[in-house]
Amino acid sequence: MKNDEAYKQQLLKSWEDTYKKGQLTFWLFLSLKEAPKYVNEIKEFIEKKSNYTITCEGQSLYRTLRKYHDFEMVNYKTGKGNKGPERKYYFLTTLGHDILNEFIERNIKLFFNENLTDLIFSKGDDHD
Amino acid sequence: MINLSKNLKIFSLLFVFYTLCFRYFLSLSITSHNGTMQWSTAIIYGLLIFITAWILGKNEDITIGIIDLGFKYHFVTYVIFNTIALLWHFSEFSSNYETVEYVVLVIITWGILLAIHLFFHLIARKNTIKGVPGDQIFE
Repeated sequence: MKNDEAYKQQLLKSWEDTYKKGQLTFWLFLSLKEAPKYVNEIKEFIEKKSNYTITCEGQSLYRTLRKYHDFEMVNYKTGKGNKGPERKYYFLTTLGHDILNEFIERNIKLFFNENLTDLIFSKGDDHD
Repeated sequence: MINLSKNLKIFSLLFVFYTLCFRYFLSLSITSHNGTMQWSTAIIYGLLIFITAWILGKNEDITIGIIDLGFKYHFVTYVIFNTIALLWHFSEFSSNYETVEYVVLVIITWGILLAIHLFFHLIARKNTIKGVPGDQIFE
C-alpha cells in the first residue's frame, strides 16, 4: 500500500490542499506589493506566478479584499477600465506592507538558509 | 451608541411589528380567556423571531465585528420588547390581568440574563481583533 502511486498522490493532494488554503493571503499581498492591481490582474498574477498551483475565484478575491480593506491592510482607488466601467485598483497600505515584510522575515526567509536549502533539495534517506 | 448593521435595522423593524401583534393577540386572548390563542400566539411569535433572526443574521454582509452580532441582536430584542411592553401597559391596551409587576419582572429577569450574556461576550471579545476571532482573519 505504501508504494502505491495512487495512495501517494492522494496523500500529497490532501497536504497540498491544506497548504494552499493558507497561501492565498501571501500571494495576494505579494501581487499588490509589485503594483496596484484590479481583481482580474491579481488573479492573473497569482495563477501565473504560482505556476497555476494556486487558483482563485474572482468572488472569493473580492470578499478577501473587502475584509482586508476593513482591517486597513488594503486600500483602493478607482481608475478607468478598458472601455468598461471604472475599476477598483487595490494597493497595500503602510500597515499591509509592514505585515507582509514581517511575515516574509519570519516565515519565508528561513527557507533561504543554506543548510535548510541543502536539506530541502536533497533526495533524503529512506529509513524503511 | 450601538452601531446597527442593515440587517439588524430590518430585524428591529420587523420585531417591532411582531411584538405589537403579539401584545395585541395576547391581551385579547387573556381578556377572552382563550388559552389556545395564548399558546398559539406565543409559539408563532417565538418562531417568527427565531426564523427572522436566523435568516438575517446568516446573511449579514459584514467582515468585521462578527462576534458582536449575537449580543447586538439580543440587546435590540430586549430593548424593543420591554419598551413596547411598558408602553402597552401605560397606554392601557393591556388586559386587566396583565399587571405592571409582570412587565417589571420580565425586565429584571431578562436583564440579568442579558448581563450574563454581556459578561461572556466581553470575555470572548478579548480574543478577537475588531470583533473577529484571530484565526478567522487570514483563513
